Amino acid sequence: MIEVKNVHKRFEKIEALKGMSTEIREGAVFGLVGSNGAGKSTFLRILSGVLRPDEGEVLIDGIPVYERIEAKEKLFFIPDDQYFFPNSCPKDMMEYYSILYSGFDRRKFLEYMQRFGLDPGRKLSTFSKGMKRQVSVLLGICAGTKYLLCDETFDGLDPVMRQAVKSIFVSEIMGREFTPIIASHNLRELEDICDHVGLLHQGGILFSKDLEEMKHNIQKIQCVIPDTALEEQLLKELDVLQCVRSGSLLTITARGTKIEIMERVEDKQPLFCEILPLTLEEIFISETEVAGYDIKHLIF
Amino acid sequence: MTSNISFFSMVKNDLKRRIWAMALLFLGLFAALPLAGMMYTESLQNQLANRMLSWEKMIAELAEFVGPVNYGMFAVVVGASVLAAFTGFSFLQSSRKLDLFHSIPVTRKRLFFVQYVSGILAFVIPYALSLVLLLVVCIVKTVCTAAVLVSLVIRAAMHVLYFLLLYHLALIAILLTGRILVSFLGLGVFYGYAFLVWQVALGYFQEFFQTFYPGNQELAGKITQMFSPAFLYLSHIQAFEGKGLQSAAVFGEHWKYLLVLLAEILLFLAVSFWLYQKRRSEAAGHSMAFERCKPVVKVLLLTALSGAGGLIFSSLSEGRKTAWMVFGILFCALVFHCVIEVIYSYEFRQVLSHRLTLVIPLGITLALALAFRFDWFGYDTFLPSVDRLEGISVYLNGLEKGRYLDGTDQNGMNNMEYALQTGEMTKDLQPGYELAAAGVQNEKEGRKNPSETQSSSVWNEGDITVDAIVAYDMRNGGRKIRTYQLTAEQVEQLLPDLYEVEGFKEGHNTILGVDVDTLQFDYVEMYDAYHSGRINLAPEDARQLLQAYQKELAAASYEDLKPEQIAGELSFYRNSDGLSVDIIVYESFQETMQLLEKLGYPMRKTPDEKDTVRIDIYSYEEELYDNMDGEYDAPTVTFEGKKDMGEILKAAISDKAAYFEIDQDYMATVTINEQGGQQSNYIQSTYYFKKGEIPECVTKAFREWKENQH
Repeated sequence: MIEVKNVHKRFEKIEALKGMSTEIREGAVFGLVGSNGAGKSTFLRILSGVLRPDEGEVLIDGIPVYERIEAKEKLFFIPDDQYFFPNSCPKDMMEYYSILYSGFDRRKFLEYMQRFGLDPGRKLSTFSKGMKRQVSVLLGICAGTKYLLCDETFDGLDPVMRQAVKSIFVSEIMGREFTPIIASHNLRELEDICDHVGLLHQGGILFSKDLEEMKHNIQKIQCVIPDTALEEQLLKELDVLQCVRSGSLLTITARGTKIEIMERVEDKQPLFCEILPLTLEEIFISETEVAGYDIKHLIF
Repeated sequence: MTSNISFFSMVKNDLKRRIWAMALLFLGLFAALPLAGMMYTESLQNQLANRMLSWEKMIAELAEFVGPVNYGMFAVVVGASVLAAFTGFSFLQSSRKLDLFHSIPVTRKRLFFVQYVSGILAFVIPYALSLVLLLVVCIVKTVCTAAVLVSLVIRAAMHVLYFLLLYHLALIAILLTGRILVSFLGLGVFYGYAFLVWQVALGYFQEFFQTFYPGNQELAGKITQMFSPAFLYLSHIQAFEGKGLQSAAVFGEHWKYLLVLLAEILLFLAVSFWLYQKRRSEAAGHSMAFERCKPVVKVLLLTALSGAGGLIFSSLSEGRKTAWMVFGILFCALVFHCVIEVIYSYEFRQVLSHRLTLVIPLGITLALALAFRFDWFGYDTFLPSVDRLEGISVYLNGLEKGRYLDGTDQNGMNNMEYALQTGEMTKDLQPGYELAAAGVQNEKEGRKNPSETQSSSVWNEGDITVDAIVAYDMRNGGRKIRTYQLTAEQVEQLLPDLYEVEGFKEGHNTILGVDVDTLQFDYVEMYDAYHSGRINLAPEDARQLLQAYQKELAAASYEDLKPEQIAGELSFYRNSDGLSVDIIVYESFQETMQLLEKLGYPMRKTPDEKDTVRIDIYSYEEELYDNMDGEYDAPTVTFEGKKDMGEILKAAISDKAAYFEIDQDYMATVTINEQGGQQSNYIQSTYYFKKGEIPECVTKAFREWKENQH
């Protein structure tokens, strides 16, 4: 588990992290979302031991990360703009990382390279941005570390590649101890990958929740209730987060389990009733509004 | 764990990435060593075959060539140290690269040593390879003796040690800064700052102190060496110049250089390692990695640079030197303050921030410059009381009579240094002190009439000034040296007493400090009224002459050494090592004169009237020059009448007299015909007159010449 305890980090006059505390559990894909300048990169650089916090500490499985090999060998950091050695090819980078990470799986790396259609002997300087990102992710996965820290890594990946990476993540999580931590400013990019999401805003974690838990507790229903009195009664009974009316069609976002909400709606003799899937964005809007923030001002 | 990651695998991997740098270095080293060696040894072979070179000389030349003195290698080592440091540690200036290097499971300490060792190997491997190839060239093309081999080994050791020193220095420059460009600028400051401070201080002393003696720079030079590694490097290799066969001995003799070198290597390594550990990753991209260094570096730089600015403006100006000096200081301080602030912040809008760090160096520099300008500390008027003095040495320019030149000017010293070192007067300080007091008085008089365009205005028109260097040896062990200016009349008054004091004559006549019994010469030349070249003397006769001369010079008084007593000059030469002895012979030196006569070479100050064919007098009087209508040949009058020639020869004194003992307005060229009529025996010699003793016929002739011109 990664524990972040009251971490402060200041760059001259700018306070990038203000007493940040959070926990990242193992075995899930952790998404860290936040607007530009929210402190995501700083957080990941502290997490990877590149930066030393001014205050507080970061523990990787109970070990402080800064200058501790025992902690650092458990993680691999893929920064926003990954550095590759001049004139190197993926194979050279593989050689380098296999010296540093005892668990580096060279065979697996070459296999993945082939599966992704990437030539391991080709100069990285001739690769496109997206191809370089793929190489970075594959190097990170094949390093065999327990934690993989990705900073805006999925930015340059097309949906097909994202799905491919996601499936590799899933198979790695199933096959060994593996926890990817993905930072992005784009909620939609994290939606289909993450299990757990934390919202970083102005140097602190605004909230951090399990995606399934959030989805389980918030529902979006579309219904038509002919009796106006019953309709009003329904809105009173439900913990409504949002209600949109279009003619006689009501679209309600409300807190509660699917069964609880459906029971109450069906009691009101609806002409039509349907549960709609919630996007991560909608969940976030709901959750942050509850916390007193307007998510549209935070990350969109 | 850390131990699982092989240190050597990391070094090997890093070296792979630096292969281009190693190839570049090998190219430079190959050109400087085996290739140059091949061409040089071939030239030696040719010279040997043509008997232009002896076998021993060839070995000596080869030992010199493979030895430490190689300025090409100096450039290669400087370049290699910069290349090794920047290829290995420039990742610290890029946050992209730091994300990789500082996130991997390797401690900073280990990473530092991986990069550090790899940088050393990047130089040592191509260097060792080039040295081996050079050795092969020497063996194949010539003969590689033990001396040559030792010279080669010392060279290898020297250049590797200096590579380490400069490499560590480059590391410190990188670690203190966060941008590549600023790292290079920082390295430039490390290389040149001490030298700049030395030169600026020297410049102020020379510009504002009339009595400053520039020859006494040994201590300043040593301090500069300590603080400027490149200067230390150059000074150290210069010590080996011309001593290829004695490389090992020179290496040992200069153990102080070695000690400083080793101490600095270790110190700089410790500093760079400490800085590496202290340096935070976020320093990348900032000009200075440590905020606290900024004001210190700026104050140090502004003090030296504004000082240099004041000096430059002051020396370039024709008038109002003080005003221009102050302007130069203000101008340069402001300009460099802006430049440094822009470099620090990379933001032009910050150009006038941190004004306190402008005011502090400006205040320091202005105070120092004004202290120099107005001599607040009494440097020029310094005259210690006699009871504070242990001894006093005086050197009067041009007064040397018997010079022993061993090819390097008295063991590397010039006449002035020799006089100050060996001519200390300790028994009777009064004559030397009086000379110094006269010099100080002249300086004070000059300061009463301060002139912005002229250093001193104490002199009257037509005065001949004499430079007198005085070294005060203080009782507390210190030595202070000053240069005074005296008039020829003042010197003439002081000389009789000075000649009576032990030390004065010895300091001015290097021949008195030599054991002439052991000297062997190949030939002798004689210059007087009748001789102008080589004379036939047996080595034993030459030695006897020198012995007699040395004895008489040691006993001579001021009266004996007056310029009108000069009879001529003898020069003794030895071919093998370029040794020579020049002695001015006086008519008062009875034994020497008699011995010369006995040997068949009587020395004559002036020729007989009957042998004199003509006398040409050249006038250098300014007034006469003015009448030459822009032509610069001195006006000349020729005398051929016996009466006039007799009068001139009676007043003539030898051109071997000191410049301040003669009247420089007139010069006489006397032509004689030794054997009466045959043109091939014409001999010319040059004479002067004493001041105020110009023959009447000469002044009259030039008066007439002037009238004719009108």
